[in-house]
Amino acid sequence: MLPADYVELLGELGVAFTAYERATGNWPVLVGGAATAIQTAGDFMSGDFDIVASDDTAFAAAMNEAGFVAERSVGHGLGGFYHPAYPAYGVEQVSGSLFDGRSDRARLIKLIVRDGSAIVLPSIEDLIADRLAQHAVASASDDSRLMQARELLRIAKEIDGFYLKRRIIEESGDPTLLGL
Amino acid sequence: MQTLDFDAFIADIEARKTALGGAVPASRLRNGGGARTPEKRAALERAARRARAAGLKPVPASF
Repeated sequence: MLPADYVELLGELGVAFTAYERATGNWPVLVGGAATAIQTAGDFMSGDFDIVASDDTAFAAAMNEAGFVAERSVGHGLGGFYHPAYPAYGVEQVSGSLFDGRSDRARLIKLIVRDGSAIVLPSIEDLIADRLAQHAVASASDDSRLMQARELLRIAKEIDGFYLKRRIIEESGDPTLLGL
Repeated sequence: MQTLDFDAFIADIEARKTALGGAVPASRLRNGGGARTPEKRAALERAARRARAAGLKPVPASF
């Protein structure tokens, strides 16, 4: 189960997503551990939110509009944010395009958190492929991302097996780890 | 892009988990942190510091 303050923060994040989309015509996408935490309804928690958004200026403005505070600025103008009402969580903008442009954006999932607030997640297949890609570069003693991939697959409502296998291979993951 | 209600989306996942059983312990799913960048480690450390300063329990993370 997702903690109440986590869901409340997602509501604020959704305000930023919506503002960004209004300004740019494109939705940011929540990826990584936070997306996995949501797609497993809180099987584990991730306190950092990685968001793919290509327009740095629009992203910073949208985060500011939603009440987030910029905490620093590093290379390429990317920086971290947090919401003063939810200090245990941090938000990081991820550079580049979503999965290097290889994912099918038509498969994205938009979740309406409340009026004027929506977040966007990768498809379950893209998330599984990403987890296996992370597993491929993780230390041999850390199979957490493989376990995440298997859990996502186990509880998935439906899976496009052809697309999943293609995306795993594109992300340099090993589909045989999932029996594919 | 499909559009769904967040609460209904989560409730649907919860129902499937209940039906399937056999949940994996959170400790087995949590990133061990070995491959984190220095920037990510620093970001997680700052979040933990903010939580403690506010009297909150930091979100479990390896960094």
